[in-house]
Amino acid sequence: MIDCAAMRDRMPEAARGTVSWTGAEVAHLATCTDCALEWRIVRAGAQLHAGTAVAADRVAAAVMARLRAAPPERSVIRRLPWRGSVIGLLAAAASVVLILSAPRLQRPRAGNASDTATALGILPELQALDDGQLRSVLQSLGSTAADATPGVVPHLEDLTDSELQLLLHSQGGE
Amino acid sequence: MLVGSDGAPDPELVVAWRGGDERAAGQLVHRHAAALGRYLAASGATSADVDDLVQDTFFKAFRGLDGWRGDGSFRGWLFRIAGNLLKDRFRQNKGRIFLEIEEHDIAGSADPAGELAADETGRLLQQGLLRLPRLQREVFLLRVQQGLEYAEIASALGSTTGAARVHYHHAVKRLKELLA
Repeated sequence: MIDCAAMRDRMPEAARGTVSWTGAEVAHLATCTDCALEWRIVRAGAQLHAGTAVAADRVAAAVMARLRAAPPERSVIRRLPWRGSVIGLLAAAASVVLILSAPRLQRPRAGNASDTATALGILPELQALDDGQLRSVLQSLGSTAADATPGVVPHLEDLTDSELQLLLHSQGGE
Repeated sequence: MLVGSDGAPDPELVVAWRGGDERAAGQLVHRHAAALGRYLAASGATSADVDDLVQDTFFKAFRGLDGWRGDGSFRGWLFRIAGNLLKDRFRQNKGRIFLEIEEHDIAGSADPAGELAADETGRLLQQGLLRLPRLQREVFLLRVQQGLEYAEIASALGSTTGAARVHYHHAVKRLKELLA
């Protein structure tokens, strides 16, 4: 019994001549129309554009000429002998930025001393706005957060720094 | 790992080129240029564009060797660059590459390289390939025309072995429908 799937798996190699069909497989190809069609496709695919000629000498010469005019690109970091230290410093700097900006990424919670909470402390009236009022205020300021996603109510913590600044100014804050 | 007639495997030639050996780069071009040309031609590049695209592929590859991690084959990486260049060319020409090739094949005009021009299956297959989604076409060609294993295809296309198998399966299924 011939396993069609297993046989089809080997068709690319058979078409390239790296494996051969057994007698039973050859007989199967004569009777199984689906395998025969796939074999016809794979054989034709293996020969597709077999005669395409590329002027390798000319290509190599042209590539070398272009490379001489423009030497290989190398990453700035990779060129530095002390790149390990640079990567370490960059990682440390990224950590500091993440730590400092993390509170802005969270919803305001009790006792959370984020910039947003500070702003709310300065302007308690902002905290008193319901969702519809907040949306209206944001739309009047041309905020993208107000109309970014229909049906999604904007939150103060979703605002960018400049949007928050605009909002604070509009409410008479700093 | 592909080893040429001169015996030096691709990674060794890459290291040599990085060290400034131009002959090593030349050997890599001679080793892979024809396969790239076939791949590009079957992917829809016009015969006038094939040499330029092969040249651009090697230029980009040699300029950006830091981007080749060495965990996949060098040839697979070249196919990836070539595919991206062809995609860019196709975008620039707003699809004219594909139409040009299709008309050429449907008309059945003489193929200068004598590559299956008289073969009805080959012509139908070429037309069918150009109708496939890009990933399916690329996977089919890398598997069947270039003889790459699924793992190598996945590495070349930045995909997974399972996804490569699925793309191949869908490509063959659609080609069967077109050729049945």
